[in-house]
Amino acid sequence: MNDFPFTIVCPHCHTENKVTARSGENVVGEFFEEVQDFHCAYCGLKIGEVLSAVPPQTEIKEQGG
Amino acid sequence: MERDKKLRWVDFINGFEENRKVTLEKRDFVAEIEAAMKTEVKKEDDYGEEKIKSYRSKADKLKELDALLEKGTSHLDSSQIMALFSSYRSLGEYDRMIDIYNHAENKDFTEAPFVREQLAHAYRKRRFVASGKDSRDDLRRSEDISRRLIEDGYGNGITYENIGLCQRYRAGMETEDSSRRQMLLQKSVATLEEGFAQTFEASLGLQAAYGNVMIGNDDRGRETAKLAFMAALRDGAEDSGNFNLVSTALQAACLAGEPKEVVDHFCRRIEATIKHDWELDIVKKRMEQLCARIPSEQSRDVLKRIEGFEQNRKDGTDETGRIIFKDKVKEDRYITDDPVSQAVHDNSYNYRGCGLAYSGMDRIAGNTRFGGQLMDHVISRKDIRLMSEMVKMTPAELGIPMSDEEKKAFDRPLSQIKDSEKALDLIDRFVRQSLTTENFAGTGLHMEDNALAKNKNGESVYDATVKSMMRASGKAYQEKDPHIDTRTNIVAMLALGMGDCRHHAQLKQLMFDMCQRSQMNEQIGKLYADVRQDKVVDTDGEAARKFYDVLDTELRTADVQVRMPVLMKQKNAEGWAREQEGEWRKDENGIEYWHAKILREDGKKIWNETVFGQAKPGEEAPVVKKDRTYEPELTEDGKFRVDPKGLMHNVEDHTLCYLMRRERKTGRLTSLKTCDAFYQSKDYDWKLKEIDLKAVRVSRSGNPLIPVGELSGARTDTGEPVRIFHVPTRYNTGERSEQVKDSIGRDVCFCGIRMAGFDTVDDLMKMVRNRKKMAAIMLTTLRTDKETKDIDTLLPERKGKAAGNKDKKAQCEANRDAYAKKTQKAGQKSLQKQITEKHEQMQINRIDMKKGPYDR
Ligand SMILES: [Zn+2]
Repeated sequence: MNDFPFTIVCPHCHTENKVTARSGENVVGEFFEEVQDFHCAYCGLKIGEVLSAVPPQTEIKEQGG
Repeated sequence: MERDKKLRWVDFINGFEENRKVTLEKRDFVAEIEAAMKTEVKKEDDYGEEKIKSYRSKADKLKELDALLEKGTSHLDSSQIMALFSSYRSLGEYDRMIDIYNHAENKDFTEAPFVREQLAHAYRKRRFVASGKDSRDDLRRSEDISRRLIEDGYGNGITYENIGLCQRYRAGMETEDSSRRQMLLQKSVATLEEGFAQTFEASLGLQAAYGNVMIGNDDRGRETAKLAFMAALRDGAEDSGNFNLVSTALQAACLAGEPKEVVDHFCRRIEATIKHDWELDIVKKRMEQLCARIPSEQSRDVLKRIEGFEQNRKDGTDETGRIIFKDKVKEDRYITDDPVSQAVHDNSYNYRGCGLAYSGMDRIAGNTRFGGQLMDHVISRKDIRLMSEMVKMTPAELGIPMSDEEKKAFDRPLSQIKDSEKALDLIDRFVRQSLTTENFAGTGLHMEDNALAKNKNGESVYDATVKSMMRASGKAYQEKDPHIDTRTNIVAMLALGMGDCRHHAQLKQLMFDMCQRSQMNEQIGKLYADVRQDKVVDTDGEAARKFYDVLDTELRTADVQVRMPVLMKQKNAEGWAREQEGEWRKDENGIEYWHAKILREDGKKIWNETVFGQAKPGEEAPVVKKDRTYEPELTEDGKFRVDPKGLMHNVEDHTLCYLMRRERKTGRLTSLKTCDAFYQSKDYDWKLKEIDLKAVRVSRSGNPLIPVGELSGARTDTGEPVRIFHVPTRYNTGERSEQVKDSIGRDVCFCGIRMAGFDTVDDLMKMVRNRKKMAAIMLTTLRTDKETKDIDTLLPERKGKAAGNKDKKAQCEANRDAYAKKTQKAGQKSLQKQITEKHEQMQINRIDMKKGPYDR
């Protein structure tokens, strides 16, 4: 199980989001992930899709951090 | 309400006021939802300019949505509940979706397959959010919902995929019991395989292929991928602008080990369809996994190219939020170097992949909008379902007029008639009979004359009927309100028997595509049966050959301009239109294009790089003259005036189908024919007309110029014949499906009003067979509509009744003549007469195209 975080700017409200997706839940291995939507932590709208084994988590990225 | 209110046609036409009330109520509700979901808050600054003030948070949106939900859903119809349901979904609020479903009384909402699919999805997703719950329960519930859908006959890619995923997630939870985990994994793969065998949906085929690789059946995975690839081709992946479909085709091609040039083509298509970084990431990750698990030259190549895309990508996005590449992407649409094939593809569309599950959760419809003021024409899952049932009927059952010989020869389902031209001929008869093309609603109007048969109010009886039907639905004609629903399903137009060239083309395209789809599925099915017995797919065998035969005979619909070198009345055109002066040049590929000279109002001439140039920022758009479509300049005796400069003008806009055949290996066109369901017997003979491929030119901006015969010398002022051309115009980038948020996907609407009588294909056929009754519906509307002008010029049979008891047919003819005389503008009369004596000169006198340019 691997978490891989990345950042993306919401096209709707321009909030910078930190998104965390995850590959291979438990031991099943490759091709396990499904294409999942992720939503902006501020405005709630869909901002993208990613291959992940769980629904990706988003949080507002702290300014300057 | 327990059920939606559906109107019978007879209630519909008596409901002008009631329908207006419903229209406005629904509009207000849509506006409320939209206000709740708004992200940008705008405010005027001191100078009165609108500026974005702030962005609304998810919490703000939920507060307003919840307030709407607080009122309950019992007073709402299914589309309104759906609008709420979809809004929560777009915010990722799965618990609320489940709540709405569980509390909804409206059975049309709760029973709808599209709604149940989303509910299953919500249960599957919710388990991650809900804390302290045994998420296995939610997974099982999700699975159950999908299973029941399959039992009810609504299994599709989404339902099978959902079950497969639930089983896989459950397998993932079995950390202790490895044999149980393995069992669940195998079950999951078996579900995906069964799903593919039932639906032949490409995305499901790819999932089944990956599943096999996951459990170690690499060979079976590879063979399955071959069929997933064929299924993607069937849906039009080769020239699609749909990222999901193209990405499915690319992944399947890599796994299946398709030849390098095929994989290369899909790489280029991916680059051309990709809009977002995350799309790039998804393909990249899958390719990395493929390279690690089943290394092949193809996947390594693709991975390298995708890494190349990343380097080629500029920072930021364009104004639509799409990523931009430094080097311009090659827009090859097809695995071919044949510019004509590519140009015709680029500027046309079909419904081979319409209404399917490949594009994720959101789509239910190919939403086809025609023209600004016209009803929203929709092809929903319901239309597809009814149409695919219809083609299972024999031509005789469909009521298609046939000779005794034909009756014997074609006593099988329409979809089983493998001679495509014969099938198209029968479909034409069905469409023309259903839409009463040759005698619209018994009024004597031949629809092929509709473009010119206008009265002094500028309308024909057809135009007036359309407007009256719109008013009956509670819409004000040309009302510009974004919240007013004018959705009209194509099956509603068919049932009513009302349609112009667009509907003729749409119905023909849809019926033919459904026939071809079933023929291609038959072959995929045969091949897949082998795969399930662990055999190798015979890609050169009979089934594959039959599949590609059907695939490479393609019907495509295009919106064209009909152009001839004849003078048209002019109007001032805003914007950067084109003056007809310039010269032919050759581009780097040796393709000729018209290098236009733009004449500005101040008399200044400037060169423009392409025929379709746009004003540069800061440059004033010139006022130029533009052709008035449908209004030719005629001589006193009604002949067309040939443009002495030989320049092409736009005589009318038209929609028709083309039948194209191509060679699989090279992708080159071997034959191109007009295949028009509309213009067949009067002005133009485009029912099935072979086009001289060598004479088709392609402009630098990719529009084909297709010669389709000539206007005879008897109809021109010079006595010389002139050639007629079609210029198909780009519809869009190939992405035709659109999100419809407020439809349960199985209601049939006419101009936004939900209609009864479409439950089964038999119900639909009852209406289609009863043309007389449906004509009466339309004409009654026209008569009762207070805003109809000059009913007497529109409805000749009224006068006929007063005139006494003549033979009906003769009366109709007489009335029609009178009508024609009355309504024709000066000059058009002899044009109409001459229109029938067309195209006798078969010797095609090639016009030297270098004499004159053309534009869109
Ligand atoms: Zn946002």
